[in-house]
Amino acid sequence: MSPFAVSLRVVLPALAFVVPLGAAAGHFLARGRGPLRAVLDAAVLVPLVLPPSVVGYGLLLVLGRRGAIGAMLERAFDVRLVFTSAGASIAAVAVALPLMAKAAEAAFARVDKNLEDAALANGLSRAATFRVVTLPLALPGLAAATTLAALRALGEFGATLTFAGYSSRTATAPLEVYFAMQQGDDARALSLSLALVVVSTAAALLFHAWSRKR
Amino acid sequence: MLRWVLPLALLASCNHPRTTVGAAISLKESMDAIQPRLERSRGHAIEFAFGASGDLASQMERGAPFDVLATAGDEPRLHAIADETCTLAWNTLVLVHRRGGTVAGSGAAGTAQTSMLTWTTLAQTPPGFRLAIGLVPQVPAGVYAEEALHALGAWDAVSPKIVRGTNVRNVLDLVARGEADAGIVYATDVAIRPEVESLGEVPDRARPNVRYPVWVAKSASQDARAIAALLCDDETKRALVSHGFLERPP
Repeated sequence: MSPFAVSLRVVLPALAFVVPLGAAAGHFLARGRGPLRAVLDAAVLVPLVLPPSVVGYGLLLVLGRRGAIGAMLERAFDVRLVFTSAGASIAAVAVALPLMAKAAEAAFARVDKNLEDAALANGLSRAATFRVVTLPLALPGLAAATTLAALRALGEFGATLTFAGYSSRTATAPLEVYFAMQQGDDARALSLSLALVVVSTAAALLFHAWSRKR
Repeated sequence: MLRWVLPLALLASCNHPRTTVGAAISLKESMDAIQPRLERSRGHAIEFAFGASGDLASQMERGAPFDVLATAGDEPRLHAIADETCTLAWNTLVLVHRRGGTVAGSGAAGTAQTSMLTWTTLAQTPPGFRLAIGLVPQVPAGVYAEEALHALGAWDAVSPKIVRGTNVRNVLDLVARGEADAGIVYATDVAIRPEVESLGEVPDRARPNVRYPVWVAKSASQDARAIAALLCDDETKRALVSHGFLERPP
């Protein structure tokens, strides 16, 4: 399978978790208060600044076959994560979710709170206010956040290699660049790198366009 | 602050006379043991760069800062840029598993087999079984393992169950952590991880010639040539034998 096909099979399921969970966390970070907000803020920042190898090693200790959760998953569902695309997706979630949450926080923080208050004062429920006021106003920012998280998931290398290992199902484009380079296969390393540069640049332009929209 | 930081940074980047020797990662403990003697003989620091032989050969080809390289097998790409000076030692393959682990099965996927896993029963392992070997072509232990599995006629049955380690010690780690049910490594690797035990040496009819040649770059300095000579002497051979390597082909 082509490395980009592997990457898609890893990144798309990861984003299915990252986008809704990250947006919800971002909303809580932007509008929530109290100690729980402070805890979430720290919990989101730590994986963002940790070396990906540490994140991957942590995942291996917990979700590996001898880890507390990993052993249970295998016993109950016959699920193994190391060397599978599900494992690579989990590594991608671990690194992209914090970024999504922080970027979504910024998107929600930009929404004028007076507009939400006005909607509430006019008798709209909290859910309706969120649906007709907050969400539409935050949407461009959320799209920008999604772009950023997708790029981070696509570019994941360290946590994937440490946790999910190198196999045909985890050989994403960034891993293939590394292993092709090590083998002296510059034609492959270079063509994959250029493709990643093109995709990333396009996404960066998209991010730029979204984040300027109000 | 800066008054202190700048001179320290300069000091750290200062080039003391030192030479780097590349070596297959399976030689790690032996090379660590002989390093003091090499440094005493040469009168300067000698550093080792360990890794999969194929990765090191490809680095040397691109001008990595080592003129001396000990690999776990022939590296054809080195013929153009280096000469082989001697064979350090020989080694042999073993099948390993995690001590006390389920022998041939794996969790819910494995049928609870009571028979001991061996080289000849590898082909009959259950579908969920995972055998770790080195990534080819860069990990010689993986190349040898594939040769042995072909020679045993087990390749077709085993190949869908194979997972790859990025060097032979990574293969060992996959077995030690239980991520792979078994693995193929060198006999000398087994002692490195107490959680791992050998299930036996590769049968004679499938035994690959695991040889450790020493390469010296054609452009090598006198110092590098002297280090290669030390690597090829009897004292080095004795150190390798004490770490379980073989003096002659098995």
